[in-house]
Amino acid sequence: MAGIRVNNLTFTYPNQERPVLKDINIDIAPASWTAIIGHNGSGKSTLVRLIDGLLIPDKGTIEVNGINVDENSLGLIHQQIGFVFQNPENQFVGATVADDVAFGLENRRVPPAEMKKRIHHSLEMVGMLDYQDAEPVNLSGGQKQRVALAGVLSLMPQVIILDEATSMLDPLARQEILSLLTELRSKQNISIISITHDINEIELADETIILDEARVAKQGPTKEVLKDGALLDKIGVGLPAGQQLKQLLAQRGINVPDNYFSLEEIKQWLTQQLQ
Amino acid sequence: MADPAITIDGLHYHYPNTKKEALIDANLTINQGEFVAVIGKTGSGKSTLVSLIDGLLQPTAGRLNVTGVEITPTTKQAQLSSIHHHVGFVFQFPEQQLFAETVADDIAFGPRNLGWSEEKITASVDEALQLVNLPQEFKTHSPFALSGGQMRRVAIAGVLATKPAILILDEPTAGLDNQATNDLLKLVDQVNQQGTTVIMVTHQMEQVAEHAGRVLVMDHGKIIANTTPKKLFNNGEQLAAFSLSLPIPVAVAHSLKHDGIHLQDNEPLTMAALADQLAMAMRGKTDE
Amino acid sequence: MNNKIVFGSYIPTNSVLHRLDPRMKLMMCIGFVVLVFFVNNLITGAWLALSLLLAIKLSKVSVKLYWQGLKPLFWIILITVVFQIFFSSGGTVYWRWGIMSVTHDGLINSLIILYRFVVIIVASTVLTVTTQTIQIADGLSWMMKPLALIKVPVNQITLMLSIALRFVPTIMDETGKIMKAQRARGMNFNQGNIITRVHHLVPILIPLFVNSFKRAEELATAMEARGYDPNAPRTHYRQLIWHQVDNWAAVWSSLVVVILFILRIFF
Repeated sequence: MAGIRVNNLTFTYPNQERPVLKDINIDIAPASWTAIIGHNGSGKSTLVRLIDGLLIPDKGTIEVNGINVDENSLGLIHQQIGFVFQNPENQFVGATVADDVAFGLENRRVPPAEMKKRIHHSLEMVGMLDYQDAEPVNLSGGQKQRVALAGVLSLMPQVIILDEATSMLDPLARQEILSLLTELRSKQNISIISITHDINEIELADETIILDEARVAKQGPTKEVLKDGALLDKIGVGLPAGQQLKQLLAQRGINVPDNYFSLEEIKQWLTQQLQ
Repeated sequence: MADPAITIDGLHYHYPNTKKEALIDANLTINQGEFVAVIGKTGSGKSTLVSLIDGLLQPTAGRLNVTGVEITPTTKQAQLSSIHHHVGFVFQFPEQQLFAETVADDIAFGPRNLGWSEEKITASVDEALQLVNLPQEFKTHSPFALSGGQMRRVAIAGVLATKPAILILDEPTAGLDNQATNDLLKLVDQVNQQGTTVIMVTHQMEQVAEHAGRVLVMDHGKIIANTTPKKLFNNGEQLAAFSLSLPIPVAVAHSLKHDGIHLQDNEPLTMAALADQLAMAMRGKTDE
Repeated sequence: MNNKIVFGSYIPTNSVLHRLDPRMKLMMCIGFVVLVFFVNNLITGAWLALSLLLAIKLSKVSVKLYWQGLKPLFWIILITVVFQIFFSSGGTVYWRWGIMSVTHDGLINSLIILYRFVVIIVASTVLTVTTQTIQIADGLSWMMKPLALIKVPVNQITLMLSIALRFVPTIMDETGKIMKAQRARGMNFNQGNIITRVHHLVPILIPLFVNSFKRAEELATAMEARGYDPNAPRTHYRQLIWHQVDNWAAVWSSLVVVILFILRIFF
């Protein structure tokens, strides 16, 4: 079975009483883009670490492309999944950009000649080829995250997990990473799972899962999930700009019809009305 | 006219062992009680400017006066340090500076360095905790046992406890979710309304539009614009040239204008202001 | 951001020495240090100094920079030499006061020590200005390879070493930030007696340790996610390749050694 399946998953950290995740059931289709959102401490990071086998569940099962995630399959699972973490500095292992991309390839025992080709190719994809020999001190946060992404791409994974990978970047760098991901997905059969608070990043996803108080509070197509303004507010994400405007207009006696949701759609409706 | 809190004349700064100047000929006056936003690309000189205002760097040329303390390239270190009595600085990710065993001790660090009496310190710690909306029980907790958002609030309380006349914030909302961001900005507004001068470095244009009375744009070490948010956002193309974007409500208004729909105010700074404008336009339409 | 040029740091001038294999350079440097102890008179000393001068010339790095490299160590050298002059005995006594004396042998000994100090420091500076730290680490790991036979985890040690080197600038940067932040909170580093000053380290060291632990934890997770297994074999991106020029360097080095020993026999 391709894709990711999570069945009745429960997880409690050692030395803690309450589980961070309780009876989680999730299906993620291959080549899809899924956003996972929720309050800090809602278990988002724990969930994706469990999927990548970096933590082992107390109860329930996880399947990644038909492979059951357990202690014996970790090597295979890490091969299927690439992970980009939040802090750009703390995942940069190599002394230079090329060395850092090489790290994952070395672990996978890729021969040096082949490694060179793959490093070249993946750095080219993220636009960092000119920085091959640069040392991490001389790179910006956004550049380091692009290198992290190149490291992931060089291993040709099926799934890329981004754990708040853009949250420490400035808006410009964040936008660059997001366009890069959009471009990648249009070219390759890759699924993306992104944990984020950023409404623009959520809107890129096909599917969105909201975690709240250790459980899945909502899951479905992003467009549908984003309609639940009250829940978005509760988990601290806030209302998308379109809905904010819609609410404010309603307070002023202007009712935008239900089928206009995003800012772009509302703008179109307004243009029609005002022209 | 309020008294100037900060005056800057022909200020330059050059980091040792670097090729280019980080700050070039800055001239600026900021009045007591203003809310000034500083924007610009990474490396444009924003941090250098605010570090100079806090006496953390000594200018290589020019002069500045911060709440009456005069600073020149020859000013003595003691005079430079005396600025910390008047200026509070919230750095990026300030929770990374926490060190004390208890929250109360950490917040008291600043006041203690300023040589305040114990009673005054205790009172200021209580007040600061209240200001950042943390319960008083937290005083005896270890700061490292708190959540990330709470740690940030403790760190900010530690700066507010010294009751600075000028508060500098360097991207205070970086890494926070929407809810925590709004709470923090509300706090900054509140402090500003009580008369504190606020200088905030930010990348978020919505924050500039909604909170600042004035905005400085920096590029390659120079202050290239010193104006109101409304005037700045009037010129979208110029902003784009400096890799800066428009806040969402202004972007909507501009895009409507592009489609031939003219609102009365083309630069609504908040979503509510945009909605007001749209409501007005709709009413005008139905009256026709 | 504002990287200072520190003594001994890599200076890319792309000289012939820069292009040598780091293993060759490491061996030459170690060999040279050993040779210094075989110097027994003026002639042999001059021969070694001459070959070192040739290396300096070949490195295309200005003599001034080497001199700057020596300067921070000036006091250590001076104290050792003075100690040697006053506290070693033997030969003609020129001056005596209590346990201190200046003797002929003492003077000679101090001169030898001065010579060894300067020559060894300059020789290692030649290595470090012409070789990147990562290359030195690669060279060292190659030299440690035989230790794997006696179950020394050579690969883990070298990875650890290179990660440690990689994070030095990060931690320096962070220290600067924390110091700046605590100064903004009114802390004055240059005030008070030694005890207050030691006390002042707490608000800097605690955040530094806390952040470093967090960093280490995150790094370990990231490494695991990228398939790192400390017990599994890995391939290596950086391959050391022995060139013709390294052979020439080996020939030259042997010549230096042979001539030194010939000079020892004849003088």
